[in-house]
Amino acid sequence: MPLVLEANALAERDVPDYIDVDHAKGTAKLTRVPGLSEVPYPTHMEPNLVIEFYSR
Amino acid sequence: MTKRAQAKYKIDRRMGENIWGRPRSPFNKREYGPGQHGQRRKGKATDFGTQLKAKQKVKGYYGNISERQFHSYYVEARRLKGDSSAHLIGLLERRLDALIYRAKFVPTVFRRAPVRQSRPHQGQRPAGQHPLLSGQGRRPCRDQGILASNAVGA
Repeated sequence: MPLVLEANALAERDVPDYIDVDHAKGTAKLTRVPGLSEVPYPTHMEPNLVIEFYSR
Repeated sequence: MTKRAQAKYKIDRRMGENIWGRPRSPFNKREYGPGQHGQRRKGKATDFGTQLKAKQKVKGYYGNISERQFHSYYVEARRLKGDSSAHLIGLLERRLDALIYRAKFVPTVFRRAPVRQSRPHQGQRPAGQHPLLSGQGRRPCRDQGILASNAVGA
């Protein structure tokens, strides 16, 4: 699929540690649930403020 | 699945940053808020304002989540023992669409991976028989990330 090949070729992101990907077979596996610091957000995310937002 | 109603990258300009780090983001060209009044001075955000912004940013980052669905993640995160904010991130990251995005099967969070109808991993599908919903949660290790792109490389 061209879309997948295109996405795969993008250099702007890397596959994080907690996911096992086999691009040849086209499978991906979430090996564990990541914590905030492991997730490769390009910006600063503040989930604690999200919790505060809803608990008001 | 709900339909996205807003311009995809408007959130970049609203938040004042390039939230996916994409080179194509319009924020790279116009570093101010969207709309007629986007270039006005921004007032000082209240506590509520910063919280709302933080929430909108997390929700917007995942692209296809409605407020109702996002709120349900909050409810679940609060229910689980331990740090609620860590649980919230964990719940979001185990969404099927997030997994596909992280695994680089799709270029942006708004795209869905092409998925084969008859997959070879029948036994490894999640229990429900509708495995293609974006918001479907995965458990680590147990359920395999099926997805596959119709013949990658072919």
